[in-house]
Amino acid sequence: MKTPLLLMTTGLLCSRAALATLGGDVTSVESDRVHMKAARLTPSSPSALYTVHEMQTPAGTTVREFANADGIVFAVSWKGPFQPDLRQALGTYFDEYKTAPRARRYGHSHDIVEQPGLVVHSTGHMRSFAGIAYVPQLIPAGMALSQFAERAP
Amino acid sequence: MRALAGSTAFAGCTGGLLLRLTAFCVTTLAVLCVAGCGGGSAAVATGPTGPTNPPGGGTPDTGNTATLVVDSGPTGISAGIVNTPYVTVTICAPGTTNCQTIDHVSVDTGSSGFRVLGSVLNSTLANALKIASNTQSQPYYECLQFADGYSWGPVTAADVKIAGETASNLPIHIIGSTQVAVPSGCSGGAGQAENTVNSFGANGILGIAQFQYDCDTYCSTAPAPEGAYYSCTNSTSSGTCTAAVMPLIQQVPNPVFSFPTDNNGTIITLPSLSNAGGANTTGQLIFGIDTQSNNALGNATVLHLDGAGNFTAAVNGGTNLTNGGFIDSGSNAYFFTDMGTTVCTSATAKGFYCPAALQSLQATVSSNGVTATVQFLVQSADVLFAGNNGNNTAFNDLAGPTTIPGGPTNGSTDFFDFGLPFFFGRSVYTAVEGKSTSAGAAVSPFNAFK
Repeated sequence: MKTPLLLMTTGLLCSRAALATLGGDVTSVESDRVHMKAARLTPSSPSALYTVHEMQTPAGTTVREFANADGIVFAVSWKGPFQPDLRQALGTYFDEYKTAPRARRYGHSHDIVEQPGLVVHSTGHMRSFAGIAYVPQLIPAGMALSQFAERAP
Repeated sequence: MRALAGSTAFAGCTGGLLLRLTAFCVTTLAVLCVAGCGGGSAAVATGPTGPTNPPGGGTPDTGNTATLVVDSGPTGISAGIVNTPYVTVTICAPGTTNCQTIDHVSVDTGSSGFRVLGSVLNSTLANALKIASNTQSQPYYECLQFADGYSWGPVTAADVKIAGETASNLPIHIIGSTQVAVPSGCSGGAGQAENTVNSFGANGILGIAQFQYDCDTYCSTAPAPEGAYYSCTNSTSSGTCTAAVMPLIQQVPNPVFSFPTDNNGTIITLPSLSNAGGANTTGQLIFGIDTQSNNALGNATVLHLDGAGNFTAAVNGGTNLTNGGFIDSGSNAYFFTDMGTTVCTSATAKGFYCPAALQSLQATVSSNGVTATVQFLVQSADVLFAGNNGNNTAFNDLAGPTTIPGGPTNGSTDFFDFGLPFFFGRSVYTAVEGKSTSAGAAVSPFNAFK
């Protein structure tokens, strides 16, 4: 139990091949990947603060899930020709995303939700979508938002 | 090609009374609408958002030019609508004079396909529009996912007429007006249901992107993706739907591609505006590029579009954005991320920029060896929305962020979305794939502007 945090996290990831939904425990089943019939790519740990799990849906959309050192997914990003299954990827946060108030109609190419406990930006057009969702309270201390944004797909 | 699509789609309904007893054949849009549209035989009768004169009150054009209006949208919209271009479209049961004229159809260069809200169709027309089906007579439904939501409803075919152009027996999407439950793979892909005039923001949408088909080979080859086409066991509330492979000829296409002439693209022209904006601004939607005297490409800057519909873009001398740029009449602002521009905090302007003073910015766009600089302005959305007693509906200097506030300009979700503000004072061309223009095949498809 005295294993350094990074090693412990990496070990768990490798042994369970785990992926989870936003806010979920990364040691849970690969529910997202299986649900989306996605291929999983090798996880990477760009820093000791978080690990990135990447998968690709059959339609070619890349989904990345960012897990903090506690194994909790604090952000999900996506990019590709179709929207991913956000109900699956956002998990318990999906209902909040759906029902959160929007200010003024932006047209169909843009959507922003900024709640105290959930931020979602979704942008794009037919054949080219991208977005990111994160829970501010779960972002690792010492990590700037720009840090994971730069590494999102 | 259209006739073939029609004969396939309606094969189950041509066999007379016996065949008409099957569940599919007696199913019409009007029947489907009973639960969702107010009940009774008048369920789909034209409501307050029904046919009216062309937007802007202009004389209908008999050639290749339709009047565009940028106003507050159709009757019954609760949210404030700005920078949304609308046209009037007439749809008819194929080959008949059973027609209806639909006002406030939004014009979208960011998607392909004609779609109409089922709730605005009168019952006579709705009854005559038969749902397309597969070889097992199972009805086809479509889920169209936008970045901000999804629209669900049956696929049918109609003659679609705008200005003097007609796309005959065209596969189209009827949004809403169905008892068939939305599959989870559809509703899970995007935020909100947009199956009513109010939630959709228009009576229909004229998708005139460069794509010929709305899904193309993503849907015509297995495995069928979620969030696109579905075949359903029937068209009642007991119907269940599974993602379906959809042959190209039955997919909902860009109507322009199906016009007999003027079918290689479109031009949107809108007038210059003052920096304070305008109300009920009108312009033109012109069909064809270099096909008539009024649609020459001339010296326009031509930007080839990649397979995803984007080109290379950068803001204020920064590095090229991860996802590039696109020109979209269906977006109501310039959407991009700029660290120096303040995000609005007021309820009415949330999601837009509110700089302390008018800002002058520039974007660099490039594709296929062509590079151009686009100068543009950003005014505070609070100022814009308050001007003219809040009655302005068209702005050339409305902008908003497209990625994380405080994040990098080259972040994950970063596009430069050249929305409708870009169109004011310009002619913006969209050349469809697979058709020729004077620009040559090497740059097809493309957006161009001058």
